Amino acid sequence: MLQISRRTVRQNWALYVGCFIAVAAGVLLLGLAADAIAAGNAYTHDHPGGLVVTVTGDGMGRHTERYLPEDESPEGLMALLGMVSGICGFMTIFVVASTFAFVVAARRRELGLLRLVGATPRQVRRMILGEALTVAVAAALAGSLLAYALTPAMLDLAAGTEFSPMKLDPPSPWIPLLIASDIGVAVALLGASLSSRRAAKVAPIDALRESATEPPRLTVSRVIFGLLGLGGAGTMIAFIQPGNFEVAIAMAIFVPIVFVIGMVALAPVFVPLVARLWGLVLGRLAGVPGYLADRNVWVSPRRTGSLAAPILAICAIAGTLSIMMSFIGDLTYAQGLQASRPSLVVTGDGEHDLTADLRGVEGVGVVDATIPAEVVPTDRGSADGTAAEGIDPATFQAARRLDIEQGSLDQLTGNSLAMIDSVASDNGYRLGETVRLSLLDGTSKTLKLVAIVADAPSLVPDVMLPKAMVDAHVSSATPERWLVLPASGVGLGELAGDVRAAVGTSATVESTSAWLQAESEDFRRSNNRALVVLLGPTGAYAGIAIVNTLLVGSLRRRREFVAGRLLGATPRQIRRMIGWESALVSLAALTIGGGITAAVALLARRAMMTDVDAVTTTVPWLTLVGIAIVSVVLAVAAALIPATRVLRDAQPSAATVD
Amino acid sequence: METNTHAVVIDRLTKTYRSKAGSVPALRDVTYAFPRGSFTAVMGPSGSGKSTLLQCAAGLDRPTSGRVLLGDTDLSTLNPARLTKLRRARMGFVFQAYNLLPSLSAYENVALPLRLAGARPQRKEIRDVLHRVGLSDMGRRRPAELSGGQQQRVAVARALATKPEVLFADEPTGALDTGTSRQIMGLLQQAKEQGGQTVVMVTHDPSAAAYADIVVFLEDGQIAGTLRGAGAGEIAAAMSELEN
Repeated sequence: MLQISRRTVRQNWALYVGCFIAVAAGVLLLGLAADAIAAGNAYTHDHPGGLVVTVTGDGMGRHTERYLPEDESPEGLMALLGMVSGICGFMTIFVVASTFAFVVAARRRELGLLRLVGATPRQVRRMILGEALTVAVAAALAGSLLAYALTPAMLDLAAGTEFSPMKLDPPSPWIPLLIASDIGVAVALLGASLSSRRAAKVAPIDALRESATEPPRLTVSRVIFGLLGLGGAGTMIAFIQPGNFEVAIAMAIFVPIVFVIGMVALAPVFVPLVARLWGLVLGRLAGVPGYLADRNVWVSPRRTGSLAAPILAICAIAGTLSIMMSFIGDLTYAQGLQASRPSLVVTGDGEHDLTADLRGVEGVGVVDATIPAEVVPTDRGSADGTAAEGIDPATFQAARRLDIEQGSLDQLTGNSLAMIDSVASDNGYRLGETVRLSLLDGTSKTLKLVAIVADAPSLVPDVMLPKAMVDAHVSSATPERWLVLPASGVGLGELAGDVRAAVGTSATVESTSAWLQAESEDFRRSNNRALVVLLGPTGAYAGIAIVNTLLVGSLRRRREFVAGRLLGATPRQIRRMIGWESALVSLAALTIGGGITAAVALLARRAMMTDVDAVTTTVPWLTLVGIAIVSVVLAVAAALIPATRVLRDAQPSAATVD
Repeated sequence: METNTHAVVIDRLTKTYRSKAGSVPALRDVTYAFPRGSFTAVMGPSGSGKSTLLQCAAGLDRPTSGRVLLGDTDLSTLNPARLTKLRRARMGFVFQAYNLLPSLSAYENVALPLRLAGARPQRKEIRDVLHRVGLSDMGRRRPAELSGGQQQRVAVARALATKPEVLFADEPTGALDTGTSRQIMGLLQQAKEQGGQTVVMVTHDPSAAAYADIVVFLEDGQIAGTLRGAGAGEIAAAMSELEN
């Protein structure tokens, strides 16, 4: 059977292009991730620095772990690429599944013929899987070669960024690329398995009849997946409640994914309905081609559904993620602003301690110095670094408007610590409890939790330690940043001039509100970078899926085009019909995807409003409109280009041939 | 009815199609026995049930009631896998068009049923069958590189390669011109005479039906009459009587 599979693929390669590209891209990204992990492991192996800590808790037993401080660890790159390749694996299954659904539908007669001349359902299934294997092996090879070629460039690119502070050497490629290829092939077989089952159900009698009829609008499994997905999304939406923005964020990220799974299963029902509504609105503009497009979208619900699926998925998931990222930026800024007093931020070079100089400036009220440190809590099952600062409770509180939720910062002396709400609740630390952690010089400490403070990024660190402890254990205990408050009656502008004069070129001085603004913009930029890295491949996959669906769809409709030409339609009219079909379907998908995005965004906005008094939410309209426009343009272009080619040999005279 | 003298027996066969518009009877209580080694043509106007008869007789479609015997085997007692194996071993098929797998060469198409059955076909065996249908030097060509008549000859060769007991043909000349039709009919006749195979053919073409020993006429899902050893003219006259 494998020989027939190989033959079929070679002679109908156009059908499999989407599958090939998807698997090759998947193996490329998996390969890069595997190379990065191998390179990272080799690096940590060759650089035996860091901290060896004994970890307990979380049912993990007592064990030791080696912890590398964030600026010496390549973990960031490994984690990011791991996440990207996970998404790609999922999208690859999606594209392969839709490719093979088409392959099977397009070859119904041929499969019937195979059954007629004696192939058992099992043999047919193996043949389809053999086709997937053929394509996947070739694609895995191409993807691996590309990954091998691009690994040095990727490691160069990542070197020095927040993902990988150091330059990593390319690892030996054999094992990582072998693993990536294996996963790629397995994922392709998984994607094709559903279609191969459907192929095995083709009856011998299908060889004898012309069955151009669409499969049923809904199957039992579609209804089950659909109801589970929509029900799950509905339940999760109920958790987006005021007062707990963190849960709201998590839900807002997962709701669209679950919704999309359900919606894609039920797409043959909903998408044609919404497309028809658009047809009613736009119908007058489109004339006869529009009328035909409207009818086609309605009578071919499965085709309509499979074209809508990738558009719906990308616009719901990317839309919600970018809105949520933007809202998180808004919230962070608002929290910072709420915890700040009118003051100046002085940022030093990390070498000069300016505390005394600043205290000496006339008109200065409070000077609060921040000494950065990093701590590794070791009683929660794994060694994860947390940003900490050594603080002086009196000046720290005087310089900020803090919301102390539990306990009191005044007790932060001796063996004690304080932390922000989100760190305490994520790790289950309660007030009064003791926390075991390691400082970066290797000292292990058991500290009492004396205060839990509301989150205020930039202004309040995750963990607060007594200044004396940090001074004693951090070798470079020089303050990095100071908050300077004017004495009563002194204007901020006036003070800024004096402070600038006092510190000279060794530090920058800005108002706290301007500094928070800049921090928030930095945060947004880094969020956007992460979004591009995460969503770029996803978008590319959605693009492959859209183009693939339309390409194969147009190739299959040659007879229909010929019939249209015979009835007197000009090629131009048929092209317009195809264009309208794509436009209606993509508008319908955008409407549904946009609907869930808007619902999640509104609920999330309500949830964050109660946490902080005044949040101005910014909606990234440019990104959202960009996603919408690219989807529609891609869908229309991907439909028109193959249709134009097919139309060239679909002269009316072709009706008499075959 | 003695099963050893009949290759295929259809016994009180009824087939009703259900659709939204109501149920449509395609076959109504049809009983007929196809003698072993005979060449039978089934004729009738459109919608008379002739294709349904062939599909039920070949086990491709399940009758609503009644049974089909292939030799001693009652097809209705078989599960789909057994039915596939039986079909593979004992039946051959030729039909109107799209008979061949487009990605395989003529030689590979002919060898396919044997390979599906797990056999390793001998090159000589396949070449002989291709030679019998007059395509000795066309083995390497793919269907797209063959004319319609040549494709149909490959289909006949494929049906003969497994040496089936019964060869079912559904409008085998439907897409061919007169000259090529004659070649195909000659091959089917040869299968009966030289291979002792039973041929059951559905056709609407009187000149094709004239190659058969027996012509069975169907009308409204029932047998309306039979003719033995009739010529094309006689068959055409009988047909036009049915159609009016």
